[in-house]
Amino acid sequence: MSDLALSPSATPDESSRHRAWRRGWYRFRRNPAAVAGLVLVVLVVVAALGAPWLAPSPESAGTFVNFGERHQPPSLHHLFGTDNVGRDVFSRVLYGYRVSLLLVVFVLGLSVPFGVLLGLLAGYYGGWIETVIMRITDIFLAIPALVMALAITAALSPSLMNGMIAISLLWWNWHTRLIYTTVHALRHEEYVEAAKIAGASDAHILFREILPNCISVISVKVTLDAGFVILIGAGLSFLGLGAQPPTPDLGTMVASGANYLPEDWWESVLPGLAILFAILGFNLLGDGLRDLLDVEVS
Amino acid sequence: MKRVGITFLALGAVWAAAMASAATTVTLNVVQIFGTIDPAKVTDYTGYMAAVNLYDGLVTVDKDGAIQPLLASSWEASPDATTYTFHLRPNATFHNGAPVTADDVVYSVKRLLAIDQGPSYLFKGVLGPDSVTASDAHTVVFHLQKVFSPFLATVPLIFVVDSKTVQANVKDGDWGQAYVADHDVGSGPYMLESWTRGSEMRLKRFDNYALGWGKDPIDNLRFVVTNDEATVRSLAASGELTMTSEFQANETYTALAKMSRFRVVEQPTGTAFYLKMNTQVAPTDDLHVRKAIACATDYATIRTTIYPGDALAGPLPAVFKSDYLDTLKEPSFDLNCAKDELAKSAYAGKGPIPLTFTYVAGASFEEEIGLLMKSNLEKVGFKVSLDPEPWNRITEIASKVSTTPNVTEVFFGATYASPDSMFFTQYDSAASGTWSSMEWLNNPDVDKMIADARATTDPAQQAAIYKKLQQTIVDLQPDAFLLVQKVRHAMDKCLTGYNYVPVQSFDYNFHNYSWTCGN
Repeated sequence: MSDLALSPSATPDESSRHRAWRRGWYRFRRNPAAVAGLVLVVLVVVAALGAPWLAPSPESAGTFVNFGERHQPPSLHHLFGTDNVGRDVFSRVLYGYRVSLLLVVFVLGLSVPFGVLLGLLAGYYGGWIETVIMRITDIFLAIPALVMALAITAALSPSLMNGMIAISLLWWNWHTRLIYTTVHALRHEEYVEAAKIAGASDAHILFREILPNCISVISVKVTLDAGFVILIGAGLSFLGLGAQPPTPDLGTMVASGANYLPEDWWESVLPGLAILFAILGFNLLGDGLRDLLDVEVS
Repeated sequence: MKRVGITFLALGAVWAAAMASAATTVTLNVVQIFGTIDPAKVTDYTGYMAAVNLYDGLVTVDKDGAIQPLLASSWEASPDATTYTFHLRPNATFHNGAPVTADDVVYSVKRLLAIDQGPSYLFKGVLGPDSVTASDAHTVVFHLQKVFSPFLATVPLIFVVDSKTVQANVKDGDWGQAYVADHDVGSGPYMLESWTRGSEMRLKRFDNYALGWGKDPIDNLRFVVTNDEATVRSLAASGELTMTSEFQANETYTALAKMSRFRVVEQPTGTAFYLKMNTQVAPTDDLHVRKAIACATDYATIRTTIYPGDALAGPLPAVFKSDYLDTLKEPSFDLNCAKDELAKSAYAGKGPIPLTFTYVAGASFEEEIGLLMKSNLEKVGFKVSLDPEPWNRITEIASKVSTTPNVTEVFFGATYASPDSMFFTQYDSAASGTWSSMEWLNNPDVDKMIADARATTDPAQQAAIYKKLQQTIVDLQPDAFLLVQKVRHAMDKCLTGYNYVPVQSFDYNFHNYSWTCGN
């Protein structure tokens, strides 16, 4: 976290770094939306990690059916009611967050390093490397992500893994574009020139001088992305091309619950709100982070 | 002079229509897309819904499974049951006004056999290209190559096309397939008005229909393709929907029954619901594994809670009264039996046994059955992978042994009013490779019994063979026999005339319906 507050050209001493961090935190705290976002994200993460302990009916996440209790409305016993085969919707939502976060970690874990690397190369070297990388990026940017993901998962067989691969294949380009722009601006900075004159290798300049100065941009982008990845993953599952039953996936839950609207509203509305919750959290946090880091970066 | 007559007729029709005020339109949802409307290629339930309204056969079937006249007003069979003579109605015309003649019938049969899809498999070894002749403009003679006792029951599936229009549109010897794929060349009670594949099909009434029209006929039909329960309910609530498909979830029927406009019509059927098990691939190639799956099936929950139906003890529903083996025991749910059977199988003791289980994606009751099966099967030692697939994909994977899943949820109703339809289409090796034969049974004893029953004309002897055949199939356990479907439609109270017909979707012939609320 403290790295984020690094001023560009110098290695600051401990106290100024600490001061910058505190100033940032102060700003962050004064932004109620950002704090709300942080709280939401923490709640989602806790729900996902703690699902086996927090869920009143952990078996509902697996191959459990109880036709005697189908379509029960929300009650103390079933906070979010039960679904069409009698599973506890609340427990499935908690486990659903696991699937959503797994998706986020997988997709961003694959696509961000890849996208960032390409962005660094294109921005730093320029010339034909830039042309090749950026034109390919432009092509990918021109394809609507959801449509492409649908095509890919339909061509492979629909599953959570294939859904994750499909989304990853479409996510790197945004990072490439962003980092390219940033690096393009940074590459003639004095500290880069200085490093060059000092005889530093390209690898050193790219990863030790330029990359740290992109971290703030990346972290804001990643936070904002997390919400969108959840949304697109839920979209795929809603259309039946993501996680397959009985995986407790929020999008799948909304889709199958929608069959029983409006009478048994809790089966689709509550998982839908759970998706909203997570996306809202990541977006507010991302916005807050951007406000915070913009100040420090500039 | 003739043209003037037609003009007057047309004017008369317009005037009559105007007097009857607004035309009645029936909007109904279908849960699968119309794959084709070419009567020589139709195989599935949804396809026949269109075909039975657009085309006429020589004869048709009523609600009791009895053969009734249609384009043919009478017929007779030779004493040895190898020659059938049909006498055509003189006044029948195609939608373009051309009369229906014996030549059209001859051409339609030739076309069916040449294209070799749809119901043509029924006539292999029974009819050849020259088996059907026209002895005059209104008399057709079928010379069978061998005795085929269910022959008359299969004739309703031979739909007659307008041979002149088809021949005028033949491209590269394709028997007009490209043209007939989206043009209606029939003489049926309704004409194709528009068809947007995957979303809707509209038909309009054929005024000059040979059988005439009764009081308050349905003028327009609109089939809306959706299996989404919420869409069906909102269409019903908005007043747009007249009739639901028979494949809605329980909750939808309940919701519609609460709207004052609808009533729920329920009738027993000859359609059975099976878990079809691929008997050629591991692990369902092992009889004990199949028996274990049958034991692990919770029939009562499926039949009472998930999808209402009557008990099914074997491959044949009880509607085929005289041929039904009533000594078969109703299957029961018993996890211990499943464990015992599994222990006897060749796959026992090697950890969880992987099993692929497929159902129609989007059909919520099929998913519920899948989840129930997975839950119970995993208790006895299977590892089940649920693979929902769209219907057209299921028909595709059913064409090869290797791509056919271990277990698939399939409805099958008689294609023609004879037990032969249930046995031949599902279990005979000559009929393998379709969605209705995903068992890949390929059993010589079964094949022989089906052939023997076809070759006898003595009903008692036939019944004896069919009863033995039911026992043989139950012992081989190629299916878990889930239930006999009760057909249920929520329909507008004004729509009357619905009767279940034990052949494909012939109950969707809207010539039999009327709108009794007046205008």
